[in-house]
Amino acid sequence: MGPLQPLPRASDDDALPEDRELVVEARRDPAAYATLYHRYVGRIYAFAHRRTWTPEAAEDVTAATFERAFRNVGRFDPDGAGFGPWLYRIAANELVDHYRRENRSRTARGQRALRLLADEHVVVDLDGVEQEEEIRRMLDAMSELRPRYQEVLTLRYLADLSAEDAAVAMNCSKPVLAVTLHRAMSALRRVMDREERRR
Amino acid sequence: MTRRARRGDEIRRLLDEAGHRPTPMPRAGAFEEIAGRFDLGATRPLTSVVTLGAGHGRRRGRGLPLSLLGAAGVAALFGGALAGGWSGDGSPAAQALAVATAADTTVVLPDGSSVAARRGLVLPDGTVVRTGANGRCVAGDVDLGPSLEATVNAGRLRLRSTVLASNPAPVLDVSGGDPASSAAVTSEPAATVSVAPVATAATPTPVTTPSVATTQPAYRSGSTGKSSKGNSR
Repeated sequence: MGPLQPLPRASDDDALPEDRELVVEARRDPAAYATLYHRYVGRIYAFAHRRTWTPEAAEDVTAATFERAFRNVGRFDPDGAGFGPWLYRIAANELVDHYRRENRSRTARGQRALRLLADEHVVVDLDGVEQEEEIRRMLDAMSELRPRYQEVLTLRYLADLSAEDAAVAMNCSKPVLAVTLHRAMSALRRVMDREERRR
Repeated sequence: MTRRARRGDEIRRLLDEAGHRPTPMPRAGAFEEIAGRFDLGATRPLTSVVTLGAGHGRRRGRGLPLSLLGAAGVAALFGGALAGGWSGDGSPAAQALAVATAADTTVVLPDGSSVAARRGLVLPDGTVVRTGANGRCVAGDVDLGPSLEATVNAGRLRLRSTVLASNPAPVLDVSGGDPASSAAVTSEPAATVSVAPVATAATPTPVTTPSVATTQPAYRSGSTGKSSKGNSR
């Protein structure tokens, strides 16, 4: 599967006004929100699945994301950041919440076992198994980071947002985003190293 | 290379891998079920095209704004009349459905012949439309995503109950296909309906669907690609 569908550029006159108009209309007419929903639901689901690796969790996060966006559509500033980055930010926050809840109730090892049981799409080729497990360990480690670090990593890598869109989504400048990303990577590396020593 | 540097590269590689990992299709009806939480299924799109499967699921909304629920309720009241208007003789729905945009899509006509979907291809009732892994097909007010199968019924694409299976697992591709194919598309002719929120229902607000659908977003190419990402990370 290729990368996620890129978000419309802020400078793209053909793309963004359409989202903007729909958001304005959605405040009084749910049908407009339906259009936005269908435009973004696949991307948000894919984003959530890349983080959670389970269809059920991805669906829950997707639902929570659109529900929260629906409730807060009146607060969205159509003249500010694009709807896409705003939605991804909500999804990233929902993912953080999801893992916060998960961590409360289960150990990381238990989560991994449950995911292996739940995910029917585990790679079948033996060469890929090790890499899959490595990615899973990394995603587990990511859930131990502070929320802002989780956000920047998921938005930049799992949502495949450009630096510009990720900065808009996180409501910061590109240099700040770069610094945050660097720190997040370092923190992730530390957690993974620690976990590796434990094993 | 030091252990620290190698670890950093490894993590970046793992993140890249995770970001490009195939996404299995959600279970059938999952998106419709989620949409059902917002009561969106009672209304028709007023602008642009919508992806097939506009919510018809049950509503499990919690604490939704009263004004939006009111608007949905009124829209539902008008929905019946609107649906009748769109499906009756002489209505827009009675006109032949045609492909507006298509990529990696196969059409099986009622006579059994199979052709590649192309812009302007008329889709009579009974036609089956199948999109490939990177496919997309827009016809009428429906935007059919990848790896789906739909039939034309009463002048509208309707999703079949089973999602096309692939081996080993169906993959949800949200790459959107060829951006060049996302040209301006002609949608259904104009129709005027009246929709008003319950709270201010004294004077219904006329809303007109566009005679020409809005242009699909022209996505930039390559700006989110991994090669362009490296420098800014």
